[in-house]
Amino acid sequence: MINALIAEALKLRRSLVLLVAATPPVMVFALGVLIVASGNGPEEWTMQTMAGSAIWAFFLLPMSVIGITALIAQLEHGPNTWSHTLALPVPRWQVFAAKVLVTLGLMAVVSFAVALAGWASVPVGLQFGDDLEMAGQFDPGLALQLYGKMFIAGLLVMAIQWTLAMRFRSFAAPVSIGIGGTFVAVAATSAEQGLYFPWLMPVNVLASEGSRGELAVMMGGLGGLIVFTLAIIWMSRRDWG
Amino acid sequence: MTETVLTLQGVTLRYGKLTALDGVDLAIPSGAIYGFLGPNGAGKTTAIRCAMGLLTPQSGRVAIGGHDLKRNRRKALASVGAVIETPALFPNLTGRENLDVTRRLIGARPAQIDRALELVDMRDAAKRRVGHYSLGMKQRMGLARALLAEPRLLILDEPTNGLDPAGIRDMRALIRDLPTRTGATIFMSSHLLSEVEQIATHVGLLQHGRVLFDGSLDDLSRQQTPRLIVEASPADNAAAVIAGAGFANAIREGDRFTLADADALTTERAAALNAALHAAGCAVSELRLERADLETTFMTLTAQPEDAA
Repeated sequence: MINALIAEALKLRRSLVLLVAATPPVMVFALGVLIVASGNGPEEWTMQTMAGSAIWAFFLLPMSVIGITALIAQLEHGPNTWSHTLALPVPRWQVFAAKVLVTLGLMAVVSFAVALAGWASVPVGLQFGDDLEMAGQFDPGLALQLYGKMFIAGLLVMAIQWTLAMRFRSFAAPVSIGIGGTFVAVAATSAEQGLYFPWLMPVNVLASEGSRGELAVMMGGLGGLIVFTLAIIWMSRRDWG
Repeated sequence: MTETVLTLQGVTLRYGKLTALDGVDLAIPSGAIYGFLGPNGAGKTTAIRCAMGLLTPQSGRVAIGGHDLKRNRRKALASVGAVIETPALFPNLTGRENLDVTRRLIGARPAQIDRALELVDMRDAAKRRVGHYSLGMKQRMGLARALLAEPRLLILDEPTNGLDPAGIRDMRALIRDLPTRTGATIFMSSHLLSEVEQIATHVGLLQHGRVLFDGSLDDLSRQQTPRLIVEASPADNAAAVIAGAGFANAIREGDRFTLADADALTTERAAALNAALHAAGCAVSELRLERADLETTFMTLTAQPEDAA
């Protein structure tokens, strides 16, 4: 399994996956600097951390999932390497499990980098404005908790996008569904039933009612694990013609 | 009895109403270069995919090195290297990195990468990104990857597809030498009859998902219809002599006659015809008994000349 993981990680070298993974933290940093420098952003660290994580949960997380899962799948679909990889004397579930772990690892790194970029944008932004201050202190525990919960709540979306991306040779299907899901999530943010919509689960981590956030983490996390497991079993057994 | 490396027994694969493979039986003997022939769409790649476990037939059995593919997939595939359809490599990685990905998956030693590169003469190009390779280089690198596990059976699906004449010649020479250099049995699909005829020791003919022939090239040549080629003038006199000698269905092209009366063609009758032609005052510039080439035999067996390449 370790060998399968290393092999999957090797495939990422010089690939567009890394470019897509680097985009969210860069965007969050640039946007954060502009907002802080304009003086129109939050003036307190807790609010600043939550505002940054909201952008991530609403928009950048689902878009990153679309891009990263589609491009990881295209590493195999593009040159048509499935026939080679799946004809090797290796348990197929290991190949797919390694792909899942690499995807999740990359998403975890991007989540952490976005949290870091949100923090780093504040001192830089303050340099550009006159008499600007950020009240209070940055709470790394709060940031890690927020981004960590969003990651777990986002597992179901990651599993759905990953499965679609691996199943379909063309990236049109996973990208269309991902964009559609993100759009519906933005349009139905405040809907009562929105909690059960996979693309809104990471957003619900920020809900004022604590129980709603906990439920989103539980459903997203458990749902993601179940979908990932079923997808690995199904793909290991299906024909690859 | 010759050991069989790959066996397909009664393999049938259907897609809805379409039967892609219809009770395919193949036996690939150890040490052979087996040419798997058939027109485009005959089911060659489908059969290879079944042999590699990528497609599951509705009925039949596949065994590699004595291991049943369904029951013991890993052991069966452990002795196989394959290049299926195109040399599918990761274009963002170098040649060596591509081999390293597979090496790690199959748990091979790092030294096996150098050995495989040596075999296909790609050591110098291994540090370049595959995206910058020519098709011929990709084919060689794909072959190197298939050789990583030091396989007993090497499956090559249309290995010269898309190559220029020089590339085809080089690849053919490489494949021809592989059994001696690696000890591997080669199972090679192709729709190019001339290619197979030049390097194969055994052939299988597939059409519409059915095996029309499976055996050695010698066995096949024994099935090939002999022909007597006669060139004599004056042609009208020669035609009369040939008809008088009892050869039916002679095909006449100017002074040239092709006699394809399979039952009547013996060296004795050819000599008698020569004497009769001389006696009739005909000048005989050519008289030879030949067997049909693989292409003619293939067309005869498939009875659909327009399908063949």
